[in-house]
Formats: sequence, structure tokens, C-alpha cells
Amino acid sequence: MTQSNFISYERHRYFKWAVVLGTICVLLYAFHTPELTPGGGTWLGYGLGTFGALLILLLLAFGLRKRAYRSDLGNLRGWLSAHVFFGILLALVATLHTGFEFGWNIHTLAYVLTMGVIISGLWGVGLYLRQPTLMGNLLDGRTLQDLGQDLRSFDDQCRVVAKDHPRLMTMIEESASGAIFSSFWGRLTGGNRRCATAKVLAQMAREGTQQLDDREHRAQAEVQTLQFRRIQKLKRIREFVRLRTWTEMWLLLHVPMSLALLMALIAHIVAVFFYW
Amino acid sequence: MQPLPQDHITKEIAKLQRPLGGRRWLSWLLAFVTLAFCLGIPLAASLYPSLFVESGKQVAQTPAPVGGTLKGSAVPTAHALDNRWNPGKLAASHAPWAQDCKVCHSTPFARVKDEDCKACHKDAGEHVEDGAQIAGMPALHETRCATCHRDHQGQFGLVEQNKRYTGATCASCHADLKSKMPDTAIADVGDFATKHPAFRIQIAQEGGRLQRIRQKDKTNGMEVTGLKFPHDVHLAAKGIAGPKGKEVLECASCHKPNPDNVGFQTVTMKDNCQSCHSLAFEPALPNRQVPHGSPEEALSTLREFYGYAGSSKVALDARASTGPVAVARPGMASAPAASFIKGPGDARQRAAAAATELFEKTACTVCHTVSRVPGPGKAGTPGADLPQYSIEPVAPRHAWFRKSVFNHASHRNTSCADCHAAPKSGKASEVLIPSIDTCRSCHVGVTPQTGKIASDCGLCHSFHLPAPEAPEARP
Repeated sequence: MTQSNFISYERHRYFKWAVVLGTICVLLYAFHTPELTPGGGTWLGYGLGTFGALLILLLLAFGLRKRAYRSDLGNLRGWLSAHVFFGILLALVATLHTGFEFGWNIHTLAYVLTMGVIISGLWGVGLYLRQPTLMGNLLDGRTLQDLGQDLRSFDDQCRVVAKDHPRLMTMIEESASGAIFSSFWGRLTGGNRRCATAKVLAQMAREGTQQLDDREHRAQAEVQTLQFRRIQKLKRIREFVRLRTWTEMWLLLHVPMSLALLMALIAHIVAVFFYW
Repeated sequence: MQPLPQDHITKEIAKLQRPLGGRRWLSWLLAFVTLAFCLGIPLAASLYPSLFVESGKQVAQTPAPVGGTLKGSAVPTAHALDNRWNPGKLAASHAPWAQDCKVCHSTPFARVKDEDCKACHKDAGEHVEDGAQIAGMPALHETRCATCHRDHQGQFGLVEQNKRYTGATCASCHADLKSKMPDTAIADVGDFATKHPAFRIQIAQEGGRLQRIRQKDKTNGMEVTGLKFPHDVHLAAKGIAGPKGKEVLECASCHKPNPDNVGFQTVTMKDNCQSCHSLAFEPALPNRQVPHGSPEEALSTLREFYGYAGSSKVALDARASTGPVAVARPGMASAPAASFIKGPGDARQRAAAAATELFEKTACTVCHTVSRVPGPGKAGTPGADLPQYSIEPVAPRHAWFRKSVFNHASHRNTSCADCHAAPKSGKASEVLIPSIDTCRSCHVGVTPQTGKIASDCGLCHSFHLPAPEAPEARP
């Protein structure tokens, strides 16, 4: 594969930067002999803290750059690449800054939020690397509304087949009027427990065809096939929407948590110097 | 492409395609809550505590420590709401004030001041006695209490620091002190193994004056003790004559450790010498002794004794019915001195003969430098008409090291003679403090070495000056 993505951007330029900077930090920490205990209060602690705070500002700036469509400040793929690798670097810098001292206070809260944002970010990276292919395969070059059109055409075909059979017609209309998702929860699981089409198919299977005359028997068999294809199409739409929802869900954690982190960071810095 | 029918499928799919809402308000909410909880509320409670208590009520005050005043804590933070800023547990001794940050952090955005510490720790010694010198040297006045003593390191944090903070930075000034203070008597010092000068030992000089003298070969023999005391005779391996025959003495026979195990109890005539060095004066009554102390009291005792003994018809003491006549000092050639009670002349002459014997031959002069002075003695004392003596003053008891601490208890696994050459010392003036080379046979500097103990400045020295020592008179 020769095409570069945000991981391999410019021959892993930002990965290399992160490795170099991270190695320097680890070496400084390893060879630092604090007079008392390691932590944020030594010269290395202040240094790592400043570096970490600058990294956080750079990482947050990605959120601004992403929305600044007319900006010429580097291309977005480069920004994303830097965002990912410097984010991972931040996990290291922040951990070394703590000197492995934790407690029930706002300082550790800021650290926990930092790690939370980074972990949600890594989850996002996983989603971004995996989901687009899966989603592309599900749509197969078409749009979601095209798939909706397929549903509609199954319904029309059913209506033609069952036009003389009011019992079948009732079931077809029930199926056609059903929602893709009956609740938001379904968008996260990709299923729908109250799926009308599934209910109609179950009803047809339960009632069987013994009591029916030949014509209705044939019509029902055809409707059943069409309804089965309808539910397959529905499952495809639901799986697509599930994947898509999760690509947004992680951001719903990542972005608000990162803003909370910014506030915790401000509080951390003010508190440290207020009672210096 | 024909337009989509506006049915429920189109609408639902359009809805599904819209981005997930809520990110913005969730961001605002989380940001606001975090800022309020972490910064806004604690800050307001610290700056305007009265906002947080019912009007008319006082913010709860923190009790002041014993002997201290809580200088910075005019009004503590309401409900200790700033406690969530506490980065780590306070030392146990400071924990009572954990709910009141301002006790130590008196000024916002300023580092903890020495005055805040000294509000309670009034007696903490300075590093240098001369205040002008402190002011003139940045390294001194920029060194804060908190440079070394950092709290919020856990319950035992300060205790650990006090044990371990060993002044890794002492050498930053003391390696080249002469360049900053040309007149200083303090020698430049670096690592203990290689760059520590010979010890300066506090030695008693004429008149009991104490002087710190750099240890050289000649220091041995410089202590003006005013005593005659040969350690070698007393510590002889074959023993020394005691009241009950030959006795082998060891150091601990006389040098008993203090309860704190750092130093030793004062050696006294009564507890350590008199069992052998009796102050008996009358050969016929060896259990009668003069008091140890001033010659005047001893002479008066003699005068009173012989005055009474000459006239009394009552037997004074029963003599030992068997065995040899006791002599003043065990082991002394038992030339039985005749009893003075039946001696020639009157009571005064007998007392004078006993005094001469006691001061010049059998007792005082054994340990002290005794000289005869012209009489009469102190008017109004019974002994005023006897021969008068003066005893050379004994050096006050004093520490050998003024600027360091040596803990004998830590060294109890080694024998005394490993460091102190007492068994070979024939004179009291010999200073039996070992040289730095003796220490170096076990201790190296900060760089560890196999078979040796890595030792930094703090092992022996303290940053704070000790309280000036008042010389202690020897009983």
C-alpha cells in the first residue's frame, strides 16, 4: 500500500518527532536526581508540566483548525497526524510530570481527564482506521437514500402481488410503515427489537399457509420472499448507521472531555501558584 | 434523477444522516462544571470566605499550635473548600492544620515564606550567626525553609526528609567558601572521602577557655584538663588494684552512655573514682573521708575532726578487727602511716600533719596539681589556721565537636579502642578523638564504594546552628 493516511503522513514525520521528544523526556526523567521526591515541583517537573500544557494547547488547536476551512496553516491530514502522535506523547509527558504521585485532588483529576481524552482519542483512531472501509462496503457506492428507495420498491412490489388479498395487504402496510430504528438505543446496537418487518415475517411463519387457497398461498410465498429481502436491506442500513453513530459517539466523549480538561488544567495551574 | 418521495423512510434516513447533536452543550456543561468545582468555588471560598457562611456567623477558626501563632490565617477558607487543591498528604505534625491552607500559604501567588514557618518554629537556628553576612550572600538569603523542608509528601514525608536531606548542595558554597569569605576560618570542603579537611576539635585551654583547633599530630596533648589521669594505667590488660583485689577496668566502667545514647554521663569523683581513690585521712579510721570539693571544706573537716578526737573520751570508730590496716589508695605500698590522733603536738598540729599527708602525698595530688599557698585561710573557717593549698582548676566538661554530631549508639558494634587509643594514652592532656582517617576506614563520601558506607554531609552535620553551648562545670 503506497497511499499515505494520517498515520503514515509524510513518512511518519510526526511519529518520529513524538518518538524523539518522548525519548528525551524519559531519559531526562531517568537521569534526574531530585533532591527530595520526583514530582511537579522539581525543575524537571515544572519543565515537563510546561511542555505538557503546550502540547495540550496544540492538540486543542486541532479542533479550531478543523473548523477553519479557509486556513492555509498546513493541511488537515498533517494536523490530524500530529494530533494523534502528540496526543500519545502527551500521555507520557503527563505521566512523568506527576512523578507517579496521585491523590484525590484536582491535580490528579486533570491527569485522569488527560488520560481519558487520550484513550477516547485512541479509540477514535481505531474507528477511523477501520470503519470507513466497512461503511463503504455496506453502501457499495450508493447512498443511504438509495437503500431507502430499495425498501420502497420492495413495498411497491408486495402491493402488486397482494392487491387481491386484504389480509396480506394489511401486513405489507404494517411492514412498510415501520421505522428503521424505533429508539436511539438501536443506533448504538444496530438492531431494532420492534422492527415491523420482522414482526410481519414472524406472523407469516407462525400462521403458515395450510388454510389458504392456492392463489393466496402463492401470493404469500412471494410476499414473504420480498419481505425477507426487505429485512436484509434494513439490516444493512442499520449496520451502516450503527458504524456511523459510533464514529460520532467517541467524539461526543472526546470533545467535551477535552474542554473539561482545559478547565481542569487552568485550575491546576492557578491552584499550584495560588498556594505556591 | 427523480426527486425522493417525502415519506417516512426519506425523513427517517435524512434524520439518521444528520450529525449527532449534543456535543456543543455537553462541552459547555462539562467545562463549566469542571471550572466551577476545581477553580471557581475554592478560589471564592479562599478570597471571600464570608460569602459561604450565614450572615452574622464566623468562619470556623483553626486552633493555633502549642506555643505558636497562626500568622497567615486571619480568616480561613470557608468550609475548607480549597482542600481539593491539596496535592498530597501533610506530614503528621502539620496535619492538624490540613483544613486551613492559609496557615502556611499566607500570601496568594507567593511561595511559602520563612516567617510563616517561624510563626511556630521560633527556635530554628540560622545557618550563619551574623545577620549581615546572610544579607550579603544570595545563596544564604535565597535559601528558604522550604528549599529543604517540603511538605505534602505524605504522613512521614518531613521525617524522611529530615533523615535523608543531606545537603547535596552544601558543596555549592562550601567547596569554595574562601572566594566568597576570604577571612573565614571554615576550610573548603567537598566530598568526605577526598576533600574534607581535618576535624576541628574543641579543646580546653588555660583558664577553661574553649578553642576549636584543627586536628594535627600536635593536638594530641593540647587539652588543658587540670587533671592527672593516665588511661593506660587504668585500662591495663592485667588489671589494676581495686578495693577487692585486682580489677580489670573497661571503658564502660567509668563512661556510661547518656539515656539519649549520643554522649556520656559526666564522670564524677563520687561515682567513678572514689571507690578506689578514697579521701580517707586518718589511718586509724579509714572510713572517715574529707568531702571532695573545695580545699577549705576539706581542711575544716580535718581541723574539726582532730579537735574533737583529741578531747573526746568516746571511741570514734571501731577499727577493722582483722586484716591489714587500710591505706589511702589500693595498691599503694602499705607503709602503715601512724595514726595522727596520737601524734605529737596539739590538735592543730595533728590536723596540719594529716592535711599535709592528704594534700601532698596520699590523695589530692594523685589526680590534681596541688600547690601550697601562704596562709591563713578563709577567716572564720575552722581550717583557716592549717597549711593552705590551691588546686589547679579542672577544665569544664565540653563537647569535642561543635558543628557535628557523633552518635555512639550507632557505632556500638565496634570496640571503643578501634577509634580511641585510650589503652596507650599516658596523659590526661592527650585528646583521644580519632582523626578523619579513622572515620574514612569505614565511611566514604556520596559516591558508593564496596565495603564502605556512603556518607553525605547530613550524616554528621546539620544546616542549622546549634544553640550556643554553655560550658558545664565538672562536679
